[in-house]
Amino acid sequence: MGNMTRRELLSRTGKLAVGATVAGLVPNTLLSGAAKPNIIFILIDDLRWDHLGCMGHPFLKTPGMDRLAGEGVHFTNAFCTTSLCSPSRASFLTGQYVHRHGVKDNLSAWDNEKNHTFFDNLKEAGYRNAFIGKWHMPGKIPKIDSLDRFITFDASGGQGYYYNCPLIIDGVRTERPGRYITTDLTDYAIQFIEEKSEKPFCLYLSHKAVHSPWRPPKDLDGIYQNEDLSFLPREYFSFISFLSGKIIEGAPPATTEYNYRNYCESLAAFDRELVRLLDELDKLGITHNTAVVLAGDNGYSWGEHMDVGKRDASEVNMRIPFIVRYPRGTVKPGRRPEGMALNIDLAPTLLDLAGAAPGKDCDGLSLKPVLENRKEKVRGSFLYEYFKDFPYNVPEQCGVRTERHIYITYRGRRKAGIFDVNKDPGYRKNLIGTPEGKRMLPEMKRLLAQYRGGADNGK
Amino acid sequence: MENKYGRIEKAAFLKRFMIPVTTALLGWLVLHLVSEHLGWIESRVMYKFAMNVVHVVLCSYLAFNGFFVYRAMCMRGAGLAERIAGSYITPMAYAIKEIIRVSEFFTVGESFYYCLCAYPVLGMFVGQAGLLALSEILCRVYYKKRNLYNGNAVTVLPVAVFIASMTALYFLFFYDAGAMVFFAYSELYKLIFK
Repeated sequence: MGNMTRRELLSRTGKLAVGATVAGLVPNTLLSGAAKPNIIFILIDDLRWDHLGCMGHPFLKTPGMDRLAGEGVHFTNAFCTTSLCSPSRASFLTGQYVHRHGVKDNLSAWDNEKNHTFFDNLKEAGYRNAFIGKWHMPGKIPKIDSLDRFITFDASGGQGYYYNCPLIIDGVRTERPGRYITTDLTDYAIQFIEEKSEKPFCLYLSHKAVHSPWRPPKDLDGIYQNEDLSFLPREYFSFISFLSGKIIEGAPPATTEYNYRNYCESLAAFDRELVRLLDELDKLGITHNTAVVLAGDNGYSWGEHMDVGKRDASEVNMRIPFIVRYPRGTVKPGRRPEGMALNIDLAPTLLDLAGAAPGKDCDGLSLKPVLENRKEKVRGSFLYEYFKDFPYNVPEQCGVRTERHIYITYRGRRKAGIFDVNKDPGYRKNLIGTPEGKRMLPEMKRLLAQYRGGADNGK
Repeated sequence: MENKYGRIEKAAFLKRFMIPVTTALLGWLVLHLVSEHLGWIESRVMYKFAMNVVHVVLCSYLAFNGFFVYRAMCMRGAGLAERIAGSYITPMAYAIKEIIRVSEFFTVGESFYYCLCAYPVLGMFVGQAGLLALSEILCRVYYKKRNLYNGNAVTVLPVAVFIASMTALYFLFFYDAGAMVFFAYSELYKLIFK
């Protein structure tokens, strides 16, 4: 090698690179100055991480999500940093923890002056941006200059309706009689994708599904009516909603079984629309160069801890589905990396894929190294926060989740706890008073203080 | 207000007020305690059955007990004010229990404001008003037939209270699945506490 000329060196490097690409070891994108990828982020509301056919659900069939998982990277250890709609949505958009972006609950307004979304960076990088669907952050629907298309709704306090939901299309209220919202939003998404343009696009498709009050479309109504539900947790019962403080607003006063079946049927409707969207990408021939990310805003309890909801640091509420399919930039598709992925990682990941830089105040980390199989994980812990969301009966809490344990502290009378999430996912055995817990406590406290004072450095 | 049930013998305070009210309170307490202590049942089927039954009974008890307390007090010659106050003792006790319970999560002011949320406290109070009005009309019909009530069975006030109560319940729980009222409740919360 010592006597090799520059030309020989370049030639050999080129041959090695081609060989590695052919062998599938290195994605093409690393070796070429190819065009920027298109981006589609699909946010589904209240979807549990385990409610996909490919996750072994007893009866759900989700060919769309299964296809994404099979052709992409499925982060089965993905979490939201706050298990509540509005705060988590703001975290996806900004890449920040809640204490930084300030949307602490479903009543704290989005500060459009202070907060910047990844759309701003993508716009600068030459993207055509669209937000279609559920915005659901308190306050007036903002004017976001970096969006070329903004379709949303404000009905029912921003939750929207499954049927006949009026849309606000680029600021103009439009009635949608007879329309089912999951289909309606997908129609607009496809319309945006089909628009001819020299620019790459970024589409943020934010569904109302599968948030309560669940209503499937007529042709899917009842498809899971006779399925056996004996796999639901032992502590669940039909009238959980009758427990003090469980129903506040929104969840229909019906049995848990009735609501659960409607949830699954509404999910089937979502997946059908996802299949339609993915087929459209195939038809347009842009699948290879389009990064599709699918995630849920938070998890959901269906009977665990005698709860139907999402508002605390339990495993089922924190875990979210998170899949990235980007054929051009993925090595070994179909993988399930062990590392933790977070909602705050979306923004830096998309910006990294687009060749744009995230802001300095971004707390999340890019998952691109994991997609390229250069790393199995990007972090060892993260901060969980839940701020008071009156009138829901959940204490304010924050904590640190590591790969094996969670340390959680509460405001008020409830005592702090450390739990082994692998051995005890139901948090039944508090380790804080045990020798093991006492050993862990100082480090957990240090991490918590660090996270609340500064950015996530991945330690 | 003239007591048109004048021909019904007025029992002692203990009998006409304390016994119906205390019975209703004890019934609620027993149901509440039972509902909190069913975790010992090993059989999943039995546990689920017991939890379902107890919670449906408890919920119905809280929702409808005023109707029966009112009637029991009426039969013992209690006046209108006593009948109304007595019928609201159990709901009030439930509201106090809820205020104490939610004070784990909320400030004192918020804990009281929590009771204005449709589910469960405000809804129970509003529904109770309609049931008392209905109970009053049924008591009048019953005693009028026996010549123990000397007025019209159906008058404007109880009918108006019943209609107002049912209309309020419709908006609290059914119109837009209660979302509109909840939105107004949340906006008022922001004005007061944020």
